[in-house]
Amino acid sequence: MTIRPLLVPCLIATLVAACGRDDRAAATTAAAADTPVTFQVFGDPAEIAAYKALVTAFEAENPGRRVTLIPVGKQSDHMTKLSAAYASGKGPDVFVLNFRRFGQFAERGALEAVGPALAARGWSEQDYYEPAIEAFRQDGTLMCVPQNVSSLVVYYNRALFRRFDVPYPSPHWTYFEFSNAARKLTRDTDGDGRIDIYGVALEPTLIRLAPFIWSAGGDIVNDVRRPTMLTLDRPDALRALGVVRSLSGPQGVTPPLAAHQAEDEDARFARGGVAMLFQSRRFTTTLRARKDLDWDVAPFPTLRKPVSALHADGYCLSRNTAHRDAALDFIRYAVGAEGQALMTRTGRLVPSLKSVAESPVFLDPEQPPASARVFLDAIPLLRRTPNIAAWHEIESRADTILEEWFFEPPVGAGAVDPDAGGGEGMALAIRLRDAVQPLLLRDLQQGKP
Amino acid sequence: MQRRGTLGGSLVVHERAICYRPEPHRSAHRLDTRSARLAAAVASAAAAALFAAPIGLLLAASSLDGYRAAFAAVPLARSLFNSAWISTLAAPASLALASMAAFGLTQIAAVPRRRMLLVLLLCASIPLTAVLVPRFVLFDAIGAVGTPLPLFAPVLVGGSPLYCLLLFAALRRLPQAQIDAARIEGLGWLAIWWRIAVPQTRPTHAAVFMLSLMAFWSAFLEPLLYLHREHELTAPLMLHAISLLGSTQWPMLMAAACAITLPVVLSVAVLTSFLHHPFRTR
Repeated sequence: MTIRPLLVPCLIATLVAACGRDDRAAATTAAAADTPVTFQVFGDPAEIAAYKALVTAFEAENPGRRVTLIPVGKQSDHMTKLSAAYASGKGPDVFVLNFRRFGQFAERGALEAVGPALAARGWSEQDYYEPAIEAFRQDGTLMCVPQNVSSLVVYYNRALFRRFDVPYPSPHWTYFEFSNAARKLTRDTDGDGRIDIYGVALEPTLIRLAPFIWSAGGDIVNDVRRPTMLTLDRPDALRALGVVRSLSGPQGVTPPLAAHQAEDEDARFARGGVAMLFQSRRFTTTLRARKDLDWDVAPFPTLRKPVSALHADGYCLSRNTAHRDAALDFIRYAVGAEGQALMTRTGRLVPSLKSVAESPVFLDPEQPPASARVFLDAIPLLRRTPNIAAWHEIESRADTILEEWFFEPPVGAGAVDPDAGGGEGMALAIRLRDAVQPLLLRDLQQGKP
Repeated sequence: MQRRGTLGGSLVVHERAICYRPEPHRSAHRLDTRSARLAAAVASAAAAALFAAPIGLLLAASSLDGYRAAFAAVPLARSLFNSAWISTLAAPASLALASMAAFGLTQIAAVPRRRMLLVLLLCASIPLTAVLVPRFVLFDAIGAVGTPLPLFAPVLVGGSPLYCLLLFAALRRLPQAQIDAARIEGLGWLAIWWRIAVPQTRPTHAAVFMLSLMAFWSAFLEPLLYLHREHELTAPLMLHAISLLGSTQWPMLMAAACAITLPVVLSVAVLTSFLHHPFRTR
């Protein structure tokens, strides 16, 4: 028996499925009323539980509306699932995206603009923090509605600060004070010649290094909305790179490569092996579970001007959705006061809705961190990385190079002198530019920067 | 009756069996045994010194809290059940199809066989990511996305081209005269495969079954792409979800990992008995 009779229908089915998404979406509209809105999210089990509660509350408040939750663990798996689904033209109706990854969907026309659609229903973006709203704009149109507006802060172990007689960070502390504290907190407690407590842990990635560069007066790219080149080879950026490198170089206040690979920095902080850690709001829930740990948060230390890096996720709507009205109702509920309060109670996010962020739901005095307001005070100072389609790929390439650079033993004085601005810093900037420039040019040539 | 052997032992002929009784140890042998015992004792002491303290600590601090927390944090029991029924159906089916295909390959002419083997090799070398989207489109077109059906798709090609190649290598060693004789006696192809080919290559079949079982049990990408609802998800996805709770949740993560690994270990332990050659065990 020949397989040709089977092969041809299979190929035709493939081609039809790949080409006819609009037609299929239109065809399914009639049946849409009977099927629930699909809502794909990523997160750990506690976040997924909060999303379940959100869906349940929405369904209870909107009889006749149904939502099917599609939970995915890691954000990278969430992106794989979304990409495969969109390749077939059948993604979930509503999904959560980080602003650093939303560009690849927005620029391919896969998203329905949520902002104008909600505005037509009386929703006002003025109630939300502007940095988070701005991050989800494409050509001035609000494509997704932000769920949270987190920032990079310093988590610090108060017990270690007290033990080694180091003053707690002030609300306006400088990099100089931070660096001094890190040096004093780096200790060999058992006298065996090896460091037992490190002053600070920093993940050497572009998103973590960005606030150092901004605070020093530099920039990552020439234009955050339409970037065409990296600007890490400018003097201010080089100075910031030197400052970061000095932490792992001559100061030796960060865990070296072997220690970094042997133990996760979050776990090291939780067990008291490091006194300070740069992390976003997400880490709060993990620390709340550690009742034996005395900790708090401090703002990002200032080099020349106060600044922090934006971390935000938003609710996006598929352009091919057959449940537009129901999906918009759901998004409005999720970003409304009740939805935001439900998600805020997980402790993992800083709500993007101002009224919830300023309420006891977020600023709960019974729950650590005591200085939760640090997250809100950082909002006016937030800066963001580009949200172009290639940005995630750019970060992936850059992070590999940055990790190698950060953990490499110092080879010359110029390489680690914060004020020298040259040497290894310039070599790194050139290496990053060479690795990243083709991706920026690719976006530029496609006319979709 | 006893007969002296060249190895220093003796053949003892009983009424119904012949067995070999070894000569008592000579002095050199005894010396070797003493050395071996001494070495074993030193090794045991070293091992005890290395591991006794941690084991003591582990036992002192052991509890089932990690398991309780893991099963409470995510629907782990449900996911284990899902993985179990999918693997239990898919692994035998893929083995049967791979074995039949491999047996078929041994029976066709040399030229088409070489071509088919080349196709199998090519298929084995295609990375999964290259066919990810076309497969998704195809399954979406037939409405199978959101159901476990795509997870069974590898069964149609015998689980993996590699399994077909492994079984082909084993089945081609069967004497063709056996197969021809069975044909002359009137046995059909299916009966020849089941009654002659499979029993003689049982260890290979057992090994391929284990590989197939583990592949279906630990599949991650396909369940991630094709399953949507939480109650449909498989065990590896749940383990992944638990790992997101943070790097300070090691007891829970390890408990979930144990719960997911244990069924596979037990299955392999049971199947290991089939790995022995059939003629040696009889």
